[in-house]
Amino acid sequence: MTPAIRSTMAIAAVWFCGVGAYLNVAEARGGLPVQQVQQGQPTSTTDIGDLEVLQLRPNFFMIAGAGGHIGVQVGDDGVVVVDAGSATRADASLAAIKKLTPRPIRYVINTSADPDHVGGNETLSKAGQTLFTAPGSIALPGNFLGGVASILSAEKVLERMSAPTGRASPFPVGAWPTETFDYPRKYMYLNGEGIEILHQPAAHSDGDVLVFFRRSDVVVAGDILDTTRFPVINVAKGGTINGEIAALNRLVELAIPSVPIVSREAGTLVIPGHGRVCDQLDVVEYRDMVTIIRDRIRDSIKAGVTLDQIKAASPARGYTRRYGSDSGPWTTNNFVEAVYRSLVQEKP
Amino acid sequence: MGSHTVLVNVVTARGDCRHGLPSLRTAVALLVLLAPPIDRNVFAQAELTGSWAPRNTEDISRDSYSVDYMGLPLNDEARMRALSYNASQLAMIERQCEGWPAFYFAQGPFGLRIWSDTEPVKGATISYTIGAWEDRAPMTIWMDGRPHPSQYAEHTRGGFTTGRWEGDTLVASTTHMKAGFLRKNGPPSSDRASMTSRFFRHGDILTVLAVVEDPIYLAEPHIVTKSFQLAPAPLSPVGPPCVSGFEGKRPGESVPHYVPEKNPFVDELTKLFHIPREAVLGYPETMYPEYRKKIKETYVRPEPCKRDCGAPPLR
Repeated sequence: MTPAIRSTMAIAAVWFCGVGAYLNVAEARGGLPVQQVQQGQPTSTTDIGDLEVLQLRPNFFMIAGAGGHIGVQVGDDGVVVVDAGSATRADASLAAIKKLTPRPIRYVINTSADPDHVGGNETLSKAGQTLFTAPGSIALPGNFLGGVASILSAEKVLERMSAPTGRASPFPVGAWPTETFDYPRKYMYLNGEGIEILHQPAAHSDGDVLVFFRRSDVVVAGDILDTTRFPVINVAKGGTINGEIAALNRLVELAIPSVPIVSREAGTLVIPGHGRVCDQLDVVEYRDMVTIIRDRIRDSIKAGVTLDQIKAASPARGYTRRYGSDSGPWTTNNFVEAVYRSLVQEKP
Repeated sequence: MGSHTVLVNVVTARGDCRHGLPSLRTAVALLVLLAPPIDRNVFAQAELTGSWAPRNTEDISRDSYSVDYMGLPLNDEARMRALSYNASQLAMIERQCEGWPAFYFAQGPFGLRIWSDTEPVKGATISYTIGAWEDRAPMTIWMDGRPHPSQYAEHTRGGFTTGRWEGDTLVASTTHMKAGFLRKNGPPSSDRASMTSRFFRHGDILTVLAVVEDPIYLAEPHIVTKSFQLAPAPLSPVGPPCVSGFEGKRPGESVPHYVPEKNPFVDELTKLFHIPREAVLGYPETMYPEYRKKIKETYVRPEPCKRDCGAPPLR
């Protein structure tokens, strides 16, 4: 081989290596999942069946399409899941989690007792493994909780999901919370970060919690925040409009935007019960909307206007095209009525 | 030394030129065969990178009065929201550093610093980035064909933008914008809004045409153009920091707003300049020349200003 041909081949090799490197880069851009997610960059998404898995942080994911959104924290201690989606999608949700990590589910935390958030409890819990009987772990009876993952919630969620002896329970025993609390703040430290479970006693319902992953800087908000519609205020289950606003204010307090450096996209991420991932400003926008509508209805009540007259005046005007609906399980009128009833109940 | 010269030196370094020349021909032939195809569109593209100072020859604001939505194609929902807006919202700590949605780059008074990111082999442009400024986030225009993010993904201040060349015009498509305002006096834009922008370069002038569509708040597309002049000195690619402070509203205290039908400024322009209310409130048909013809017969010009012209009206 002449030196000239060797040189030519060398040049060609360099060219191929360059193109190959470029193709690898391109593949990595399109390839999923990406392990490292930069703040402010679009989240990487994987479709698993008709579920979408969004990677929000290196060890934090959101599963969409299984009912209410599911938050998934992954680490050496195992998996902490916030909400379990609906019962009919539980197997798909479990499959999605197993694709993320081989480690066992340790905790399922419920943000409320709604079926689209707790329906998958039993499936996810049974597929998991309690922290307390794992080899080398804290010594507890081998049959502690049947060995399954704990289900953690506010006390009211257990009340809503269970029933006194002799009466039919709305959910099977295996779906019931195994660990409950009835105070403002419960906390854990798992997978290298503090996890705060903050009870909001009368927001969407009486059993709502916000779950704040402090190092990941992600808050899972449940149905306190629902970017697809007006917030569902379940007055019959202890929800109130003022408690909802208080919960949204709590979310605004927890979340931190990118200040003082506003030239970059960064900050705390908030997973709503339904809809898209939010940041503080999105929560502010939603909170302001709810507050303004509450104020309009409150002013009408003070003026002695009846519920029917309030409905006719459309106090949600300005927001109905974005959040309202004339049909389905939660219409604009349902929301207006819930706000009205909540305010009337709270009147001294 | 050009690359050809380097190649000649490489292939002739160890031997006789008579032996080197045929090899050179072989090498060139091989390289031509192996060379990546050159995208002919590259030659049609315009150079957009650099610093572009604002010419500000366009009517950029129309927000000096509390209620002035002229030229905006608002729908009823938008009008309702705009009229409920109270500028004291800007005093809320959590809104002080809010900034504007992505379309502000073509609407605000600031210049643009644009740079590109290229891949190392073909030199293809991966992205253009329009730098940030005080109340505007950076906008990256991805040129590599990547898809827009999931419907569940976060919406950002800069939005998510992809671009393509149509001849020498860059056409950019932006989604995933944040909710915000079309003007600072309250006409809203929603997080469902999208924007198509076109970048035209004519010599040292860059003109941007932005078309904002919003199924929530706009009855028709909102169209903005803005021209920039190539600047000899670099503009900053980032804005200054934003530090919020107490301005009379504690977080979570209340949301300043006007209740329906109670905005005290709704007739201000009509009283001052006799502009019909429907034009002040941004009814779409009032944007067009036909509307001027329609009101020509009935419009009464106000008395010429004799003193304190441009000052706020006496109350």
